[in-house]
Amino acid sequence: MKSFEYQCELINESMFLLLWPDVICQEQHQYIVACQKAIEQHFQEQLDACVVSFASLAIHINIFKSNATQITAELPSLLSTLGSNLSLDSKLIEIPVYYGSEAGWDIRDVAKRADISIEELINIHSQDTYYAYATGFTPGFSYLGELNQHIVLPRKASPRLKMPRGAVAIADKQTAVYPNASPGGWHILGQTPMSMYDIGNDDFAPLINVGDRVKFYPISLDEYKTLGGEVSLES
Amino acid sequence: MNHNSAVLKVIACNNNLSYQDLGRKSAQALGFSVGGAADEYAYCHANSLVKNELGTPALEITLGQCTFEALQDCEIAITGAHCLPQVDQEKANFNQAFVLKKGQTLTLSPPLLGVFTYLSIRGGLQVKQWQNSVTQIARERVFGLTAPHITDGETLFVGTNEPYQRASLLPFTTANLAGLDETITVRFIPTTLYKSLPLREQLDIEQAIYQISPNSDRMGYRLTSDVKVSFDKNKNLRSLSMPVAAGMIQISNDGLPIILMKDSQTIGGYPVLGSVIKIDLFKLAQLRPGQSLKFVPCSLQFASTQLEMFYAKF
Repeated sequence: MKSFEYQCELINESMFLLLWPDVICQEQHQYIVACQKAIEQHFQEQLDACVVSFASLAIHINIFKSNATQITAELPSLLSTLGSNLSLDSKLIEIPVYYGSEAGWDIRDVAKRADISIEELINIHSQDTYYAYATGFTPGFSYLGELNQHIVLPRKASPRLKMPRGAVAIADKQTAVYPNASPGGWHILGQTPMSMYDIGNDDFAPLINVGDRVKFYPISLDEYKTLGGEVSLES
Repeated sequence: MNHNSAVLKVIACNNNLSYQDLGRKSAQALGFSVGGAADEYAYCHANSLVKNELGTPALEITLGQCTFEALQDCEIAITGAHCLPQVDQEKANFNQAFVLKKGQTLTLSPPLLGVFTYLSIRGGLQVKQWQNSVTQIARERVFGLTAPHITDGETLFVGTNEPYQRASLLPFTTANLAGLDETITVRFIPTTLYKSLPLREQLDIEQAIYQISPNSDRMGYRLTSDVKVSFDKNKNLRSLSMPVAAGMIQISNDGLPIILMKDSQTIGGYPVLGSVIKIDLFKLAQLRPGQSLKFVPCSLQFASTQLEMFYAKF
């Protein structure tokens, strides 16, 4: 595996960040995920958590068991041994989307602003395979990238108070599915009947993990309903 | 749950009660907030007064105004924002353990100063844990992974934890809330980005008086001031979202700071000036809208030593 240079920034008593060049790059990101796995495996209960983002990795230290000096000292040798045969456990997840305009609250507006037809917009959004760079905002919310540059729009100036559960939306170079109804400033292209997480036996299992690949595919209203979907209309 | 463990009944509350401990630190990678007691100073003190081990579940009360009935004799301690506790209309102990007898009524009034009050019971509260923590985060209720939100009529249960003898006999003062009605000084660990600001701008920030905005909650305290920070052409500014943590001083689009609190998100996109040191964040959490603070930089080494000494007391 190709390695990528990082910088270390100490943040507070229990956290430091590893920072890579500030770019969205799948190859670099796969290296960051590999670093995360290696660090978690090596330090075990010395850490509370390792959180990955687009070009950074947070190490949250269990301060009752370890400290930053100890961990940062061991990092260079640990990360230099990341082998080329390291295989990432990455799935391909296919997500059905109903792009009808009663579900895609902003689909007309986005098509108009991108100067393309709604059909072209649906084709563009559903033809690419996206990569999951980060989990955040709310549990089960996965930042997927990168979006085709034809349909890149900034977030809405004022966020909606309520995005529906299952909203498939875009903002900047990203796309995502809202796991639950929540406020949000992204543009809604459609809705999916698929749940973004599963809760059983007190376990929270997200559908998409960081490093997974995701593809959207269009479905009809009938298929949407057959899959248990119920269109949330804009109120 | 053992019927005999029913210890307190919530007669009336303002939807302002939550179970808290030191937070759920292990589920951040899944996007779950850390949570935990907003003022660990008061929370840890409440537990130590009734000989509970560090991290035992306690009740966090926001702005007082609640009434409980004891369902059995129990030893309790109340700390944090002073809620003028009364037992059957008689003044009760504050910052000192006492026995509440079966049938007695405990009433808490709105505090004059501060926000969060803690109630700890000897033996600890017995509460459903998820990922090693009982902390309840309002916007994560929808997942149903933690104990249900506490409402009127709820019964609280006591645990059977053995009394915990503190190894240390370091003195502990209850002066954490002193001076909240004046401008408090908050120490922070600067980031590389802060250190790259022109010295003039750093001085402006360190000399400014910031006020807590009404638009503040357990996720973040927004601050207002005349001083606006901008990062024009700063080469240390990063555009992609990064993991965040409680205490971080973010600068939002209007140039004003937001201090991330215990229920913050796990990833954020705003530039970060630094992190308020944890022992000062416990005090800052008790500030109300309109109250004020100043920032002063300090070293991570200093902050770590202070925090180690803090936890050693419990």
